[in-house]
Amino acid sequence: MTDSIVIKDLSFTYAGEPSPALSHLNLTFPANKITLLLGPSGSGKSTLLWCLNGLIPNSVEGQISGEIWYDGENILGRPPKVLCQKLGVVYQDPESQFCTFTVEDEIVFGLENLNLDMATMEERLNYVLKLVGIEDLRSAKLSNLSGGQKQKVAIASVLALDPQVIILDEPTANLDPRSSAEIFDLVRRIKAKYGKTVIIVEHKLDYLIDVIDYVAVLNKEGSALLSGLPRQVFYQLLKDTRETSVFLPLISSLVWELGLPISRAEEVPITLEEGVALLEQKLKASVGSEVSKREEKQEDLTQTKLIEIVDVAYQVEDKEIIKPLSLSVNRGDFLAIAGPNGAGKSTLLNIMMNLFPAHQGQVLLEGRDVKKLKARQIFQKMGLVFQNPELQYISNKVYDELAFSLKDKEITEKEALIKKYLTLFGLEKYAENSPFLLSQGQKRRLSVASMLIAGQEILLLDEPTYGQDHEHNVKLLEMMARLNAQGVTIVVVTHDVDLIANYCNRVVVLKDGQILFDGVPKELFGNESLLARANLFKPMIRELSEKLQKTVNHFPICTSEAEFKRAYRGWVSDVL
Amino acid sequence: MYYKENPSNPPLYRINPSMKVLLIIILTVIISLAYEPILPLVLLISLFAAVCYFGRISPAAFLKVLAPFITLALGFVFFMLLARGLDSSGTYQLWFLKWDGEDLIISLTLGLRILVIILLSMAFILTTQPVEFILSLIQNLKVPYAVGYATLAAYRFLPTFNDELEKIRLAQQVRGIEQEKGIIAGIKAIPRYLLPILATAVRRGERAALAMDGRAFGAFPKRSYYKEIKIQKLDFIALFAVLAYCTVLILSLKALGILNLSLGLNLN
Repeated sequence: MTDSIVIKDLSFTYAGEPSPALSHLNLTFPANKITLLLGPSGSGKSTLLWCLNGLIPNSVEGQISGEIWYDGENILGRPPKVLCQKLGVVYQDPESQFCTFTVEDEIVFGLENLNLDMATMEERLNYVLKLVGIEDLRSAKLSNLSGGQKQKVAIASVLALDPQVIILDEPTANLDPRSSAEIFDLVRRIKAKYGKTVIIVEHKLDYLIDVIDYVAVLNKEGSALLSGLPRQVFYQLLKDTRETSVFLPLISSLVWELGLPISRAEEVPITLEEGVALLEQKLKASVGSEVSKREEKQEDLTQTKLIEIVDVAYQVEDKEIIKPLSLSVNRGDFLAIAGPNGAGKSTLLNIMMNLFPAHQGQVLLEGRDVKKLKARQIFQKMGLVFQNPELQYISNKVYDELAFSLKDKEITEKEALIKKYLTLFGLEKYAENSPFLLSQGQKRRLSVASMLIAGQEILLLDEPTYGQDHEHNVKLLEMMARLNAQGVTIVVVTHDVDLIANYCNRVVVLKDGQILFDGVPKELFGNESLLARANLFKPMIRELSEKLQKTVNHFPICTSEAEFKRAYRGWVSDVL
Repeated sequence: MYYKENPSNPPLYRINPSMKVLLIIILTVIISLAYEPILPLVLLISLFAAVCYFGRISPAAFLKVLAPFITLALGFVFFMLLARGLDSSGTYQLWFLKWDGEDLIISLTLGLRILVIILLSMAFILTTQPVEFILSLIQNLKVPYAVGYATLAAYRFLPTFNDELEKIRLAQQVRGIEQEKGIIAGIKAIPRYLLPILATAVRRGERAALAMDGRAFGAFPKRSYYKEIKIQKLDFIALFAVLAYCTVLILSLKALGILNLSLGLNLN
């Protein structure tokens, strides 16, 4: 009845690009299975998906060759308007795939285009609303929905066309942990109920791994590196240390890095439970010592206050976005501001920069009221990176973009600084390019560079991981950690719990414009009711160590990956 | 923008948008025929009352919406009087300006015509859901659906446009650009805004086109509609009412001897 998708020798080069995005790709997506498509960024994952639904070569120009066999025919080159009845695609950003104004209209849009009659439309509409679980949103306006709800509508709209193959391109990249979990549940439901073929590109592997039947990996050159059953593929990737930019389930790579003996693919743990079982065995065999039980070293207490927020409040049209609150940012902090959507997190950043002058109270930057400072004076001290870096660009050349931040400097000094920062942020090849044509990771790096080049000591980031792929996020965060070590104070608005656990020394939880919590991440993740109120989850490492402590007496509760590795190594090395 | 849903769904909201356009055209033609202020004046007052009643709009609120345009119409009449006062001789005099009766009547008629047209346009905007209007153009007036949906796609971007401008302003302030007030500073800032605005607009347009392609848009020459915008009994009643009212009005004004219809040829 249904057919696998067989890709034969597929190559594609975008018009104007020197090297191919896909090169002699041979790959099979098995029918009725969920296939996870992995690959480093720039490996052509999105390009491949566009070839599957016909956007390439019909709407995107370039050189194409090869074959894609599905349903008894070579579908390569068939137009999207025909293919979308066979293969439906859901993209990262639901906003960009909407064509109408309300949920109902959006779902029937494709059906209308297929010229279906009223009764059929009504039937399919009711069917997908129920399947996706959004019956109550039927006549809601799209603009009033949350990110998670929007993505569900996008999925429903694709399901309404009743394609046999459903392709999901990082469907949760823009969603908070709770909404992501709901989307993954939906994928599970689709799998359990229907024999659809699903292809999913997703970096939050850990929460989805239990439903994955098959894994395909592309390499940097845009060819197939590996494909097969999940454990087999992960085992190969673990053994092959050269391939470091493909992301594996956290548990698999953790266990591997800790040096547990794994000699066959079947032994690779991929779920939390499997990880617990394996580590438990190993830990119980050792006694553990005082070394691993001792508390983490205390942070030094000599803190200077860089930014002091004193009794600040902010209203928009009588609505209190920020209720009177006080908070100080200390020199050297890597501070996260977390909390549910609409809590006032971004507003607080804007208040710090005096972009939104506080309606009450004071913001002091090294003791001076920001309201009395000029925009340029504030800019010399701190930078703010917006969610969409493009909005900050002023010129059409990367070089000029950096030069703009150095208006007051001498020419020679300026040139030297720009050269240094271009190299530091990996942009030296692009100095003459337009910033608008950079890749998303490069754009983000450029805006960070332009925010630091004038010697700023404080960097504020508004959801820097939003809409970015995982690899870029990790690179960006590693860079933030390095900058922080060099003395740059960092404040980041986020709901990424792994970011908070692994990088931040302090976290402030905001809800309804009030501070619910201000302390170290370790303490936050131990407070279940607070986490629930703030729509946050526990990092997987934390869950892992809590589970281990139940059976392995005295094993410490760990929050960050580094902490866990130290604790584990300390524990087992003792016996030797 | 101006349109707001009304939960009680008054008759004016329910009239088919294409029919509303037709009614506006009919009324505009009729007032253009009138050469004296009496017909536009009576129509202005009666239409104001009708819109308030059938659209369940409070007269005060409607006046508030119209206020800026009324000022505009008055300004227009003022300049018209000024121009006419300069060149002609006449019986009425103010300082160095002279008018005859003709001048005053023409200016007043023109001002009233403008007001009627403004009133009709605002009534349309206040009571017509933009998406329904486009759908009605496609379904009732056979505008090609590709054109209609392209318009809708553009309309979808309008609300985000202001947000985006504000974000760009903030983003640039972050980079140390002082926000100066005044028209000249505003004009100087345009090139700075243009680049990010164009970049995002082009990307948006591209994505919207891809999104529609990916949902079978244009797969068939015909497409069906889940929401049918029909022409109903109410629409014919409205058409009949407007035609009947205008006929009765014109005939009775004529009978009273206070109306001369013209085709605009006997200006002097």
